[in-house]
Amino acid sequence: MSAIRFDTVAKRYAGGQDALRELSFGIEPAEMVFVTGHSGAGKSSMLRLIAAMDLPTRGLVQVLGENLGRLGRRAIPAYRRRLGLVFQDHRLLMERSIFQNVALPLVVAGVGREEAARRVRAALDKVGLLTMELKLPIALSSGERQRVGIARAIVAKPELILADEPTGNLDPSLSAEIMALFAAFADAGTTVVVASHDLNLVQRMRKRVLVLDKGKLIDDFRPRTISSRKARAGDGNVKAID
Amino acid sequence: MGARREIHREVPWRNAMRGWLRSHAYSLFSALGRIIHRPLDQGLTIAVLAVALALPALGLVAVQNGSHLLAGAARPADLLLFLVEGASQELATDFADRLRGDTRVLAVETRSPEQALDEFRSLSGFADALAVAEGNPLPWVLSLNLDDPTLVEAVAESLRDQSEVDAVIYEGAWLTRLQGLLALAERTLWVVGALLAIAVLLIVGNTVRLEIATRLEEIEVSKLIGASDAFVRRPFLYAGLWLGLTAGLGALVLVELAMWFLHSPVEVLALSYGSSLTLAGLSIVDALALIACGMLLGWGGAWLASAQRLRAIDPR
Ligand SMILES: Nc1ncnc2c1ncn2[C@@H]1O[C@H](COP(=O)(O)OP(=O)(O)OP(=O)(O)O)[C@@H](O)[C@H]1O
Ligand SMILES: [Mg+2]
Repeated sequence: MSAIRFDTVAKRYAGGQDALRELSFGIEPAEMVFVTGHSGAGKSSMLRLIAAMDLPTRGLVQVLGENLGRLGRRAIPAYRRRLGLVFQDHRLLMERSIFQNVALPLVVAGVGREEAARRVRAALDKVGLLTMELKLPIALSSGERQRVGIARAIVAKPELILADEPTGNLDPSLSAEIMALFAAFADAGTTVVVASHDLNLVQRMRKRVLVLDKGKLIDDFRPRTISSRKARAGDGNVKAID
Repeated sequence: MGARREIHREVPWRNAMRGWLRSHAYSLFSALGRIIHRPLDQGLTIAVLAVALALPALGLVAVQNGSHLLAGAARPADLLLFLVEGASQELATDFADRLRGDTRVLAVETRSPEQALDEFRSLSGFADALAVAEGNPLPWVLSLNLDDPTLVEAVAESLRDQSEVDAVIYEGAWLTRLQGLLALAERTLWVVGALLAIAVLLIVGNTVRLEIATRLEEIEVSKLIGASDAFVRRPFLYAGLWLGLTAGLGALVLVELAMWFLHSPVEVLALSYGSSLTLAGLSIVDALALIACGMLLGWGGAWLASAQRLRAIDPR
């Protein structure tokens, strides 16, 4: 079953603006997908639908086996605990330590203290911030804060990671580092959807790319399979695409 | 898909229970911590709440003591009939018997001039005055208790014209009036209590609303991370609970202070009504009820505020 399926989805905001129209696509488990497009194309709107922060106006949004249009208010928390959300402005709690920030999803899920500490350290280790756990977010650089945000998103072992412009504030080398982190999670079996308008970065990652324009899906690039990439190694023609 | 399920399988119910308790304990004490960290703000709020709770509690104390006082006061006669001068014993007892036949009259007691004289003598100050008087100037007196004390005026009116009667004096009217006043005070107390309870609810609600406003980011992030409404609401409910508890204790202290301030004048007053009364404070049960009321209202106010705010910020 697809991890995410959109079937002729439309989203119209109260203001009368059509943010998404006739949107249909599927994303498989453990796939890493970029969503790109100009400002106002509907990237954030799409992620908000997937995170059950908004309801579609029309069409079917199915994620992790749940029909989100039918998901009751009471079922949302349990659904959201299966996701890991990364925000452009990281949305860390500034008066809590790094450790406490990362532990939040585990506290919410009622995970025991020792188990939580173990997992928080593992998550911080993955993003390379193990030594920072007692600091406050204010004492971190923006790249470090974003990595804390990612640690918080992965600490509860989500099935799906959603990131809206996770590198919006970061310099290119930091951005590449963060994207590599996401790619590693996808390799480990987590579905990852990243919205970004940084085309350079997106192209360099060589992942599937959904291109939105005025709320419509105008392109769906798929990366070459590993076997075709291997074949391509000896083939000068294909290399030129990079 | 499996990851989430796995978490649940790892945590048997005992651990889940412990997790639940832990998160409640955490919310409970972090809510207390928040109050302690803002002693001025929260102290003022608690003081206002304590006053609002103390007022009806004091009213209750007053009404309870009042009815105690009235119950303990010797019931005086409702009416005193002074018979005409020179009335004989025979006339007095006949008249008394006739009155006993009246359905409105509960009891009649006769007092001869001699008895009255003895009583007067026993009261210091009158002895000399009576010694000067020639003979016994006092008349026969009948004291009446009525079946329905509210009829005292009508009965007095109908007896005033009787030839045997020289004068009619209402005696017990004050008691009846006081009982009426006390009943009114009790009703008023309920109304005032209800109004003050609403005030407490609103004050706690507003305090919690402000607290929520300063923690909007935390609430939103928590909800996006998968916190249930109950989880998000819990620290605020506990904050309301603490406010209510501390306000209830504060109200008890205020009541005790008021009692200490009032007890001696009240005892003097009670003595003057022929009742020896030591001012009784709130009973243990009442005190616990007061604290429970505070906690309940604190919880309720916080619940109202958080329900309203949670719906407003809910991303969905
Ligand atoms: N809450 C809202 N109410 C009304 N209109 C909205 C709302 N959110 C977004 N829109 C509109 O919907 C359209 C798509 O917005 P969206 O935020 O999804 O774009 P985006 O691709 O994320 O853009 P950006 O790259 O600038 O973040 C825009 O025209 C926007 O003005
Ligand atoms: Mg956006």
